[in-house]
Parts: sequence; C-alpha cells; structure tokens
Amino acid sequence: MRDTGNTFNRLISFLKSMRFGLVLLGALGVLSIIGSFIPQGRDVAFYHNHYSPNKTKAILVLKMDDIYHSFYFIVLFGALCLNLFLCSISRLSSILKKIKEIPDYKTLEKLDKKTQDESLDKDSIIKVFKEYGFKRFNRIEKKNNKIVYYSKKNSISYLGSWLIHTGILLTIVFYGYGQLTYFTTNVYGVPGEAKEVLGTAYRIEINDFNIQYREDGTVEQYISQVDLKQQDGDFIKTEEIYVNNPMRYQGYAFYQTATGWATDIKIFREEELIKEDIFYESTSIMDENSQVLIQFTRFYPDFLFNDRGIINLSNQLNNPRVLYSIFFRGERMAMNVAAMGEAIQWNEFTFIFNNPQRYTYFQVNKMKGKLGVLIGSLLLILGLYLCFYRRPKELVIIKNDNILQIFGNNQSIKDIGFNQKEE
Amino acid sequence: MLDEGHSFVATLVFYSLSMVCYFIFFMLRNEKFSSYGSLLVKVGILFHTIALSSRTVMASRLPLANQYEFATSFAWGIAISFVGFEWKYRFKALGTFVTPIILLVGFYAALQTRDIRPLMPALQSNWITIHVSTAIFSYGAFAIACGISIMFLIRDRFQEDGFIKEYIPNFEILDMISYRAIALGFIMLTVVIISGAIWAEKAWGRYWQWDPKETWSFITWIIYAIYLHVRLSKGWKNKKAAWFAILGFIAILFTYIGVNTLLVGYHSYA
Ligand code: HEM
Repeated sequence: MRDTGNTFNRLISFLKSMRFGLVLLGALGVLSIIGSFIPQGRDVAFYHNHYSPNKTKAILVLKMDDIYHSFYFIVLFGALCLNLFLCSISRLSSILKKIKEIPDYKTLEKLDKKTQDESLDKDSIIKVFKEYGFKRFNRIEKKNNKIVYYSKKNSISYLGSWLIHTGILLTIVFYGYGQLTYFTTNVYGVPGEAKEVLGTAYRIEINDFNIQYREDGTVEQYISQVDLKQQDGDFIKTEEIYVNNPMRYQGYAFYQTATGWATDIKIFREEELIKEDIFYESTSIMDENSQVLIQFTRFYPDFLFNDRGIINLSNQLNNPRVLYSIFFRGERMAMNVAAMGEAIQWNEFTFIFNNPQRYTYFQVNKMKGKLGVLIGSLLLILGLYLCFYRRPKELVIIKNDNILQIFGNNQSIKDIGFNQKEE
Repeated sequence: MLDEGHSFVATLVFYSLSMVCYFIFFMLRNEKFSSYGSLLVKVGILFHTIALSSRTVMASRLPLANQYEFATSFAWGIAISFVGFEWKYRFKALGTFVTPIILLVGFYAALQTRDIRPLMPALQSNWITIHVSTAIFSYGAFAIACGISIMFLIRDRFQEDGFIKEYIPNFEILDMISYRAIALGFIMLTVVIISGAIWAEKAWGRYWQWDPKETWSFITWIIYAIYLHVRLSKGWKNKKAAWFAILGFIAILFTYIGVNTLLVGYHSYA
C-alpha cells in the first residue's frame, strides 16, 4: 500500500514539475520546427514527387504531413495542460500564503543600519519607509524592547507567474474545445440571390457585391451587402461584409473570402427551355438522366486568342468568353470557348451563356470557447506584466532602542547602478 | 520634407559611421569615440525617423506592410531600444555590439524594393498596426539582449583584460540587463502573437493555422520561455543564458527573414 502511494506521489510530483513542463515545451518546439520545413496538408502524390520513397514513407507513417493535428502533437499539448494544471493547483496555496504573510527579515537583504541619538519616534520611522518608497506600514511589538515594522508592496505580483500559467492553460483548453466543436461551411452567390446557409438556421440575401479598384488597378476592397434572415424569412439584420470586417451573429461569423465569375445559363432541348440557372465557374450541370454534363471550366472577362494561346488581358468585361466542356456518359465530347449569347449546339441540346457577373463567396464559421481564450490571453499578459514590472517589494525595520536595522528585497538595477570604475 | 530615399541613405551612412566609431573606441580604447558613436547613432535615428515619416505621408499609412518597410522599421526599433538602454544603464560598450545588428537589418532593408505598394485588403486593419509595431519593439529588445549576451561572452573570454573589465560591466549587471531586455521582448512578443491571432481571424477566419510565420513566432516564444525558466530554476545566469539569448535572436531573424525566403505561407507577402 505504502509503496503504491509513494509511486503515485512520485508520479504526480514529476507530472507537475517544471522540468516535465519544459521538456514538453521543448518537444513541441522541435516538432514545430520539423513541421515548418515539411509542407503541410498536401496530398500523398506531392510527397512522392518531392521526397525519396523512404522519406515519403517516414513522413506519411509519422503523420508529418499534418504534424500539428497529429495524435502525438495533441497528446503533448494535453500533457502540457495537465502539467500546468497540477503545477498551478499545487502552487496556489503557498503563493496566497506568501501574499498574506508578514515578511521574515531573515530572508531579506540587509540594507542599512542607523543609529540615532535621540529616541526614535513614529515620524522618523515614516521617513525611512518613505525613503524606500513605501507609504504605509504595519507594526508588531516584540519582546525585549524590539519593535518590528514592516511594509509590503505589489504583493499581488506573487500571483504573476501563476496567472501566466493559468492564462496559458485556459487559452489552450478553450482553443482546443473550439477546434473540437468547430463548425464551418460556405455560401456564395451573385447579387439578387438568396441562399440557405447549410447546417445553420439562417439564410442570406445578397443585395450587392462590389470590387473597389484603385487607380493602379489593384484591388482596394471586396464589399458585399447582405441581409441575414432566419430560414423562415424573418429579417435579422443587414450588413456590409468585407475583408477584415466579418458579419457576426449568434457565434457565427461570415467572412468575405473569395470571388469568381458566374453567368446565366439557358439549356434547351429541341427548342424547349429545360433549365435556366446561374452557372458558377468551375462547376457543372447535368441533365436529369445523368447522361449529359456541361462544365463551366473557366471564364475570361477580357479574352484574347493569339499565337501565344488564350490570354486574359484584364478583369474588365471587355470581351467575355467562357471555356466550357461537354461530357456524355463521362466522356468529353466537346471543349471550346463561347461568347455571351452565343448558342452552343450539341446533339439535341443548346446552351446559351449570358450576363456574366462576379459572385461573392463567404466562409461561415462558428467557434466556441472564444471568451475563455480571451480571458486566458488577458490573464497571460497581466501575469507577465506583474511578473516583470510589478515586482513585490518588502521592507522590514527592526527598532531596538535607538538602533534601526533595515531589511528589504528587490531593489531595482537602477539602485545598483553601473559604475564604470567600480572594480 | 526630405525625400525618403535620400534620408534612408543618410541613415545608413550615419549608422555605419557610428559603428566605425564604436569599433575604434573598442579597438583603440579611446573613450572619445564612444561619444561620437552615440551622437552619430542619434543623428542616424533622426534621418531614419524622417525617412519613415515621409514614407508614412506618401503612402498615407504606417510603413509596416512589406519586407522593406518592416525591415527598416525593425532597424529603427532596435536603434530606439538601443538608445533607451544605453541611456538607462549608461555603458559605452553596448554600441559596439548593437550597431552591427542595426546595420545588418538596415542593409537587409536596403536590398529590398522600395516601391510603395498599396495594401491588399487583408492588411487593412488596425490590428496590423498593433501587431507590427509591437513586433518591432519586441525584436528590438531581443536584439539588445543578443548584443549584451555577446558582450557577456567576450567579457568571459577576456577576463583579465583591463579595458574590457573597465568598459564592459560585470557579469551580474550584464545578465540583469539582458534579462530585462528579454522580459520586455517577451511580453511584447506575447502581444504580437495574440494581436496577430485576432487579426488573422478577422482577415482569414482562422485564429491560428500553423503557417510557418506563426509557427516560428511560437518557436521563438518557446525558446525565450525556456530561457526564463532555466534562469529561475537552475540559476542559469551565465554563459548558458547568454547563448540562449543569442539563439533566441537567431530564431527571431529566421522568423523574419528565413521564413520569407525559405518557406511558403500566408505571410509571405509581409
Ligand atoms: C507554456 C509556456 C510557459 C510560459 C510562457 C511560462 C512563462 C513563465 C514566466 C514568464 C515566468 C516568470 C519568470 C520570471 O519571473 O523571470 C514563469 C515562472 C515559472 N514557471 Fe512558467 N511558463 C510556461 C510554462 C511552464 C510550465 C509548463 C511549467 C511547469 C510546471 C512552469 C513553471 C514555472 C515555475 C515553477 C515558475 C517560477 C515561478 C516563480 O518563481 O514565481 N512554467 N513562467
């Protein structure tokens, strides 16, 4: 019984030790370095093309292609949390004690000794405390004519490193929770469209989408004007979404993420209009029997065909063309460029592209635990500040008749001073 | 206002002259030269500030957006931190070790293209201002710690040399200042990382995605965190701590220069 208790205690004291924490931090650092040199999250072929077979195998087996989400990386973070948790718990009571306790002059540095002829009154004690930058002080009587005065400053800063560690712990835990419960989807459309945001209770109506250009042709901003509505149509709010200014509602955030081109398309079978829709670049439309498929491969707003092949001169709609492909039972039957309004004939089908315009693309995320992360980060910064810039200071004065002995700690380096000729 | 290009060149000239003076001071052991060095660095800062201000006016935004702008601001941050530390702790040999770092970053800036390019939409945020300006001072403070640690090692190497003894403070003080500088740098680096995460969420919808720049700032943060701990627990206030501070600064330089040139990521435009 004793033995297991002992082993258990030893295990706990290892798990809460700073040494274990630093080893974990070091390991996370080393893995991070490895991960920064191996491109992350590519497909298997990428690694085969860039590394020797053995290296590729090692990368894939050790999950170094996605190291930051690998099992062992997460386990290390988990262990770090455990370490910080145990360490913070076990240190708290002694820190609190330290904040409250009366400083023991034996642990302090001896700063000065004053002898005065006339008997020392209260004013002269106050003067000494002031000299060292303390405003208030306490007094304890002791036997043999000895009186102990003491004062403490910034005692709360003993909590500094505790706040740092708790802050980091909260940040990791809540961020991890946020990642585990992370929800993401996307929604896109052209002005005038209303789209359901899949997996949520909302829909958005895109009222307008603009790209602002500067004089030199670079993009200044992408701005979408949208209405957010409940799925059943109840209006929630209207907002402008642009890069760096997501729309937020009930934990969801809508980011202006991308843009691309879309056109109207009309599909006829033997003169009869069978489909009319908005057709987005890089998507395809299939007939109801899944036999015929038309793919909108690429859009050229300012098309030019010359001896160098197809090029796009600008992003202005000067000469818009669509590159499309037609597939029948999975086989490519045709591939060509078409102008707007041009009728593309294929067997009994006719396709007509028209009205090219930009669509806007939003990423929609919901991440929980943000408040916890925020509090954690603020505690971290507060703790650092206390630790580095609000060092606790103590001053103890022992009065013995007309002798004053002064003890203190943490005199700043300014007081030490660098005297060039000191040695 | 003076044109940016000329002021920038003047800046480099004055910084270089300052470094030469600090070197002469160290080699010839003539105290006058350290005062010249100190004066020249301040003149350099003056021109540097003019260059940065005129660029700010021309671009109608703070010069914190691309490799050149960040490098020149970074050099400015080191120079300002240097003057601050020199003034506060008043020792002359610091310049001999810090001016080369200022110049290293300054000449790196000079190699970059100086075109003023407008900000892409993701960079138009107030958070980037906080993010990058704290980065400048964080890196500046770490540069000072690196310079001081080099002094520490030199003093350690030439223990018996009278001049070194006279002009390089004792180990305790060197260690203390280096610690102070790292503490300042660390708190700033923490703000850099947090403000960067907040900005990334607004711009890209993700707080943290382990892109190489983020990863390297995390690695740097870990290095300095380990430094702070071993210093406390093992009392590493000696050569080992000095090597750690130098290692940390190498990681900073890698985060800043290496990541952009060797690794690819979202941050590669900055
Ligand atoms: C995750 C990154 C960590 C950071 C950024 C961090 C930061 C800090 C800082 C800044 C200090 C104050 C140092 C000083 O005053 O010079 C400190 C102290 C300390 N840290 Fe950490 N820490 C981390 C992880 C850990 C871990 C994992 C442990 C293990 C239990 C730990 C244990 C300690 C201890 C025991 C102290 C001394 C406290 C004192 O004497 O007041 N730290 N830490």
